[in-house]
Amino acid sequence: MDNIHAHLRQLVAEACTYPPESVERRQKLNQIIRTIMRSGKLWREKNEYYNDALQETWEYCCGHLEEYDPERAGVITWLDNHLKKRLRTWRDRKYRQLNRQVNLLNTEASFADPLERVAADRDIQPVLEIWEQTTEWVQDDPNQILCSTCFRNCPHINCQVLFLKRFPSETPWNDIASDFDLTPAETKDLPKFYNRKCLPLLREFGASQGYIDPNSTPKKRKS
Amino acid sequence: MISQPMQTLDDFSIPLLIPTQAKRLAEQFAAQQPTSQRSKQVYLNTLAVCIVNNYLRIMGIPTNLPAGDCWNPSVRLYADVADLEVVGRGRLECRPIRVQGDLDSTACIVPPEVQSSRLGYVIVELDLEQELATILGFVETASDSIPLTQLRSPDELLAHLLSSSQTETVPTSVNLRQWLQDVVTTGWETLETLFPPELSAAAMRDGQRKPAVLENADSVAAVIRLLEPDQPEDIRAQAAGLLGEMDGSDLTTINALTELLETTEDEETRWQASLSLGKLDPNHDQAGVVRVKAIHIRPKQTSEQVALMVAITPKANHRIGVWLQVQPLGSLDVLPTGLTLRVLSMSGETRLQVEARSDSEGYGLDRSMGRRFSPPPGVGFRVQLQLGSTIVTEDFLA
Repeated sequence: MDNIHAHLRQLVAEACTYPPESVERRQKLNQIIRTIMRSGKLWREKNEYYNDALQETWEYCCGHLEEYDPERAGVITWLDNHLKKRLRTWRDRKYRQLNRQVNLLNTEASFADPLERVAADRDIQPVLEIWEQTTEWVQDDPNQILCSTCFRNCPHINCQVLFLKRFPSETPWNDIASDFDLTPAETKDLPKFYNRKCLPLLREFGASQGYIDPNSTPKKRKS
Repeated sequence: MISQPMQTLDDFSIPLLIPTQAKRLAEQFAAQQPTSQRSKQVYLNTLAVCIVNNYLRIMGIPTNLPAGDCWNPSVRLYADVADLEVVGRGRLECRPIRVQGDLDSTACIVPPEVQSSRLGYVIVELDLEQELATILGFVETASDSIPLTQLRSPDELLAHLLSSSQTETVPTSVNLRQWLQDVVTTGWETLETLFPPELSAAAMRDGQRKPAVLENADSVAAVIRLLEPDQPEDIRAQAAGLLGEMDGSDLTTINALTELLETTEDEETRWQASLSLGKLDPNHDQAGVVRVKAIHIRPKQTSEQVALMVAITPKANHRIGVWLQVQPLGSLDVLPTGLTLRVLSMSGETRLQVEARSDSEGYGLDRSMGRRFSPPPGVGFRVQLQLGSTIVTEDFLA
């Protein structure tokens, strides 16, 4: 596309011809995001909150396409203006918190691969409790719900046995299947049983222990 | 399957940036793992889920992030899971792959324990150095590895997620999928609580009584032989149904029924095998479920009731099969003439209909009537029973 600005104006106009809840409008949004991200023409800054501010900008602008006025600016300028506003908010927030929080990302330079840094940063102490309580629950099976939930009515292949094989050692599924002399069809179905019958029990236990912190999730987008 | 075969991944993938908030969460979750190997996997899984969640937020499609197994610290220890609940639709698995310098990554590995109960598998390519996450595409069902060449575009993902209007569903609908997870819905009983034992067993086999001779292991083996492919299909179906109610049934029976479900395409046989599995091994992933509700069809004659039975069976592509059946109950022994069973869309259009017949004297002829269909996942539908001016309606969510 020779003139990306004209192309984007066209895309936004086309998107607005479809209702906000339609598949068609959202497919146009796909095209708009792809075109803009690939163009590299969006405002850039180097700081730790740029990506978060851009996410907020996408959420707002894609949900409010009707606010775009082609008479006043190009699509990228419209997005840039929103982005800069959000960057300012993040910057202000950061200054307020500066004295309270040590920046976790400072150790970044010492590892070439960010994933290696994650692995090295592991701090087992705070989560030992979750492990202990969960593995204890699996071993004790206080309501006998784990040992009574069986695969193919075989008492010796139950949720408790499978949990013990999957953690902490993570026995491969094929090894578990051959330990139990399963047929190829049963081998295929065993992980499905684990997913559909065993994991929900664990999910309930985790939830009952209050391990899931609702505050750790982003706020719902207002519509 | 791929509607635009000339496109490549580069043409349709959606590039997004990885926000710091997502990285913090991923670090926090990764830190709770016992080995560095697992830490890395949880880190990548969490980022993939956050990115798909962010993408759906941009698209205005509601999600429920904390409901996922990957958000649950206990489950995270026991499963390599990266799920995201799409409200009213089901769970998407968001599998990460790392960007390869030499571009030789041609497939995405899917752990066996997440190859079921998913709406689809979205593949997210992560470039941690550039903080870039690219939504490459999706597939509806997965085996151990998803070749990237088979991915369908994000445009098709949106169509898949929005294929049934969420506004169709009303809060009072009975969520049928939950029955497969052993969730009980108030007002819907098991067959045993509503019928006497000899009738409950045969309720979904058009009222055929169980032959009294078929009671020991030898006779079970004889019935299993009737499942063989060289038998007429109606015999196989009857045998599959009988096996669910025979006392000598065991693991051999379960395996025979499982194999039957893998080989036969016949609807009746599949239903009978699935419902028998439901009785013998409710945890089986092909097990069908039957629930029943007694309905007063003549307001002034309380002894005259009919039973509305709803059976469901798991099907491919996250679908379920639904089998509605009406039978006389209480003082009735045939269905009242003119009793009509209808399946309607939530907007009120009749999709299926069947009416109880009578003989030339006006006496009822039908001991049961029913209809089977397979609604798309997440779609609401309405079941109506009408006799004269009495109309009873039940709403369901597939």
